[in-house]
Amino acid sequence: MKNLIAVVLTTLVSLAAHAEGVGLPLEDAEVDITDLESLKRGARYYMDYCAGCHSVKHMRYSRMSVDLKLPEEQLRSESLMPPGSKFQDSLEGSMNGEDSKNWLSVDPPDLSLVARARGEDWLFSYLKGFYVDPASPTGSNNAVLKNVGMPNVLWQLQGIQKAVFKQIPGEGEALDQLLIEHRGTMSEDQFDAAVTDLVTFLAYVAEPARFDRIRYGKFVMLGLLALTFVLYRLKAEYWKKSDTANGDLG
Amino acid sequence: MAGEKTKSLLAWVDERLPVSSFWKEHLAGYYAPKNFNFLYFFGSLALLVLVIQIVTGIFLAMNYKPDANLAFDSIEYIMRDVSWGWLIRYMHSTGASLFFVVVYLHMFRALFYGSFKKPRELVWLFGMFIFLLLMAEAFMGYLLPWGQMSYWGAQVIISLFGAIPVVGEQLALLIRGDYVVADATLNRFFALHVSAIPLALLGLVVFHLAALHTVGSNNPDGVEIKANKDANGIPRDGIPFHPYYTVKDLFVASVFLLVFSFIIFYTPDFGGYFLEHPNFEPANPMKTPEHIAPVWYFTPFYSVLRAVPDKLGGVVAMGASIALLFLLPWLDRCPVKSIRYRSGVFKLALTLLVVAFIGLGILGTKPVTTTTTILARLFAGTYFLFFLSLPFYSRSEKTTALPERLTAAVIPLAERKGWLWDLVRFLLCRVQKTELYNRVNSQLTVLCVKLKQICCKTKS
Repeated sequence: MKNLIAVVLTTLVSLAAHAEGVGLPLEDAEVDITDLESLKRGARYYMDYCAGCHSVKHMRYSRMSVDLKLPEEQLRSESLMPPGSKFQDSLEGSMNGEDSKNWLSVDPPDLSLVARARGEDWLFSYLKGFYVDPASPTGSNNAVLKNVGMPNVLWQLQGIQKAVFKQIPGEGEALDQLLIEHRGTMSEDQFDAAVTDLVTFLAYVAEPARFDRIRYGKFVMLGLLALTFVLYRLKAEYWKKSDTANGDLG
Repeated sequence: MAGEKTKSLLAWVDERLPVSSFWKEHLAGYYAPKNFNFLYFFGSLALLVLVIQIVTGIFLAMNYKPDANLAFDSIEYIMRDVSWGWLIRYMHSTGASLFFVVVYLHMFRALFYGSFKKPRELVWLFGMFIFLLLMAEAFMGYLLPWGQMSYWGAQVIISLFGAIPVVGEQLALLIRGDYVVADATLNRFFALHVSAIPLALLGLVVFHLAALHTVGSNNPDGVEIKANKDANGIPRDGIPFHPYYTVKDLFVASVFLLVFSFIIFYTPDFGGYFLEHPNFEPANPMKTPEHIAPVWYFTPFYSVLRAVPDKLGGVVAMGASIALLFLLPWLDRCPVKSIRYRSGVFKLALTLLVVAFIGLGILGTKPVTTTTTILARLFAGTYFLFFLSLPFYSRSEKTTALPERLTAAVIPLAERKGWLWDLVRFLLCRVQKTELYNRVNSQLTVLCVKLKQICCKTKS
């Protein structure tokens, strides 16, 4: 009996280990799209750390200004808008495709829909997942997206991470965990909060209509509830008559 | 005075167009069985969704660009820059999924109460053609956003036609208009999606309803109400469709819209099932996604396809899984329609069919592993067994006596027979004896009384 339990337990443990796969499991991003302050901080981080290479071509400054309650003057004065761009322009990156192909061998993808295609948890884990890898041309590798062409742009905030590998019998080396070797300007909690802000901003640009649908949703639901009630009473009124239901049916 | 004028106007029209007689024949004078239950709402709901899809589709077509270079961006343009574009787009995408929910339940009702049987074979056949066209419509519509899953899903499904011997490759080429899915494919799918197939669908819906109104509706008892008419030639167990079922359907439509709106406003992706995550990445012919899965409503048939190790064999099996549905009126040889009076064998078989269909659907969304393949084969076998064994046992089934007149819409639990319902009653009895149940029950009673008081107050 003892043996049987042991066999079952071992199988379960090995199955669980197998399900985890090679990479690290994704962390939970606690994104709250309605948190306006978090969104504004996220926009700030985006402009400082992402906008150099990436674009969000489906988002206009004018739309962002309305949704984030940041007037045009503020966008300009706080350099959330590059000088020379028009209010109706979309968030284009400053690097052109030719240069980036030469320098990084890839064209940085447009980030308009990355939060919907990859998911918020993925983005959160990805941005936290860079570690030192001397073999990589950028000097860093990523725990979530192996051999990614993007360098670790947030290293000054996060610090420098080192990967710890473990040996899996029969499968070779696998990533076990990431450890911070040199602390950056932020503590771990501060950095988590900063990445959350950035992911919140990316979630917003992926679906700006989210504001609208949450705002109107409750009115539509309440209106329909009232309509349903009225229509139910109407139906009940008609079906009350005995000539239809013979008393016991309906 | 106004009444007189309306009457004379109606008379003027009636001399030229059969408005009054149409109204009488199909609504006010169309007698439907009076014991319809909730399974009977999905026909009118399907009609409602069809209207929603057509209307939202028209507005989407005003802003959409059927061009491989512009299509993906034009959807995002609709989602962001077009006034209320996001709402129209979510209505259309949610409507597509709910269309299949409603249609699958509508088809299940037909199986449950034997609505496909004599004299309603044509009603069933027209319905099956509608289902087939609906699948084509959904498949072509799914290519239009031109995302990764749109592109590769279409690539996989069209390549299936290539498995057909001799003409296969030419046929696939004809469908695509190119050697791979490309701009030409997008253009022709757009044309078919917005005009040809919707027109054919509408025509078939007219035939479906005309055939239904010729023979009359079936009911949960599966007995013909026309067999028992009063002195005026009106079925004793029938009631006029209008106003009784129109008001009932209005109420049900409103409940449906509540569900529909909840999805649109709070979870339009539906966890990646209604709008798949990879489809937010533009189509890239150079990069095959790791895992290609069709949208959830195709997954049962896709699972059947994958369950067969041979490509042609898989295509044949998938085709057969749909073709067998067409033959249902002739496969089932039991004269009794409703499941209420049929044998335990049929009840078990239908339960297994439902389990197999849902099982196949779930497996179709998952990547292939050894376990899923074994399960998919098991479920596919069960699915085919239902149809292929039906002709053999259905003729000599042990059925119970049919009632003279219609009975209840839903049989009360106390009157249900068989060991299964005995078990349910027993378990329910045990639950009702517990302390928790009593506490919840007394709380609910208090709440109901309070609610009634509030409602009555506002009334007076």
